[in-house]
Amino acid sequence: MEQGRAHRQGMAKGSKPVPVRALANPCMIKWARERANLEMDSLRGRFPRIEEWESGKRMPTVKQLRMFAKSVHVPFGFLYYSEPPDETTLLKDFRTVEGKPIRKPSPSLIETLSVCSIRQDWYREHARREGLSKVRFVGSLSCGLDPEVAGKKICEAIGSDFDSGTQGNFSRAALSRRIQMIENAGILVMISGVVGNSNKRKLDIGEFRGFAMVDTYAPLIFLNGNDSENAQSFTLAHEMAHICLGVSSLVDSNPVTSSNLPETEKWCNAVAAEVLAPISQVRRRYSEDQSLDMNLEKLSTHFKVSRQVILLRLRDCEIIDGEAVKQKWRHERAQQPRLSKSSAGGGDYYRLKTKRVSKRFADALIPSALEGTTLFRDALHMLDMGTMESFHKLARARGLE
Amino acid sequence: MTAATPPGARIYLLDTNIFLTLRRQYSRQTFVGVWDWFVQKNREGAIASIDLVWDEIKDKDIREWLTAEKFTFGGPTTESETKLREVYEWLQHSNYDQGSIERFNGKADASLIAHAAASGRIVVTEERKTRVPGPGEKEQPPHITIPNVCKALDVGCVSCIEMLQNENAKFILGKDPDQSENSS
Repeated sequence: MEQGRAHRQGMAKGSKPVPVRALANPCMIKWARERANLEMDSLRGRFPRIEEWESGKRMPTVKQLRMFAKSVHVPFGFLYYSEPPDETTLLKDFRTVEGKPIRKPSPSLIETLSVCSIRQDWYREHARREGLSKVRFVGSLSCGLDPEVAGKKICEAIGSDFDSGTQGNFSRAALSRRIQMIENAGILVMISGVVGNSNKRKLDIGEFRGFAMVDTYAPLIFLNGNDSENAQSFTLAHEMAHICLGVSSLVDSNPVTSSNLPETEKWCNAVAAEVLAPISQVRRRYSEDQSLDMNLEKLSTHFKVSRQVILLRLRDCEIIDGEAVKQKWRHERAQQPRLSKSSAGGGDYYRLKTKRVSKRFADALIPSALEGTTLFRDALHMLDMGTMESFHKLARARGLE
Repeated sequence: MTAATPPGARIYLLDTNIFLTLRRQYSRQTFVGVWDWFVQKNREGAIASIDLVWDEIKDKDIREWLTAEKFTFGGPTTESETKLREVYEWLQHSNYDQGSIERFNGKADASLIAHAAASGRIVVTEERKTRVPGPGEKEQPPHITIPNVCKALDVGCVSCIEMLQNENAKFILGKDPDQSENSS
């Protein structure tokens, strides 16, 4: 038995014999570094021998390897693989805005997809355990259906108030309400601007603005919290349309302004526009007496969507013709999107946490962990939390303890 | 209590969730004997765990207890490293769902199995084998779990209650030592 050897007891790091060298694969160390888009120089400070590790001349100690894995945000085990794993299996069901599969995903995107996938899996099991019914919308519509009709169906099912940001003037409040309504309909909605808890690792809206993971029991929508609130609203509605089609999607560019759209994406855009700013309402609120600019401003503020979306709506209403749209479009496109400052707004950590993991998810997971059906270790992992103390605080914040 | 562990007896390596289960399900105030059993077994060297599991235990009270009782959380050894590589290589070419392999890769689980494999010890975990899809349910690659991997690599794996039963632990109602002081 190894009883007497260099065994750590509690936190006491006693004297050690020669530290154990990791039996990692040098190629995988290199792969991991490149996957994180890091040059050797940037890591040499923390890991002076990294060059030797990658060439295989020398192996890191296990402790060093663990630290390295953390630095490059790679699952530790990958460093022992004989060849790079296929990380795209998680992505294979997604279509981007231009209809293509996801190209080279960043580690941040991969991690985000991964944790959302874990939560989805848990929730699906939970739904089955509890005998919850399937979510009706999933796969309930097809592209053949007129977008206006489709939009109406969605509004009816979610709550007819979806279009109106009429309560108050704030985009943020409108977004919150829209999210709440979609969650009430059985869909998990998660919003975050960072990976896990790390304030340093921001999610790049240039890479993705959101995604939808289709599932009959646990459909899920993720929104990149760094996007403006109006843009988030649109992504939300666009992904909602995807869920109704039953097709998973990743919004990588602005779906409204992208060219080369396949039919599916055009349809989802049209449905999203109808849901957020129904044509009948747009027609009613448009003033002939005011200039196009004033109308755009007014309608955009009322419906809490971007001016571009309103422009498209006006075209759909046939209030303005294609040529006018084109001209105005170029002008609008040149404008910088207003980035949301709200993600930085002080505010309660636990409220933020709930938004990040989805209210519906949190309210299901917490009781499950408290009653012992779900292990705390797993619950903490899915909540991106490190301590039981914070878990209990979250539970109390949700009124579950 | 049980006699000292004879040589060649089973040694158990505990997973993170065992400690959490203890804390949550078997409150120390009520299940005094259970906690004493763990202390006893630790002194005999019949139970232990690994450093990565220690890192995963977040509960302050548990950590205090483990430190006070000097529980062993072993670090990596040359033998466990060799086994670790075998575990990961096996994983890589297995039929499990890639997503769940990735999660497995980030936790203490593989190292726990490797340690057990290297030293002939038995893994103790509350994880259960994966649910097999029922009739009519879509065939998906199964989620990976510790018991599944242990079975494939021929490493012993039991649940907490199975460990207690294997070791013939019996917790019999006796007089509460605190109370008997007051009643006289």
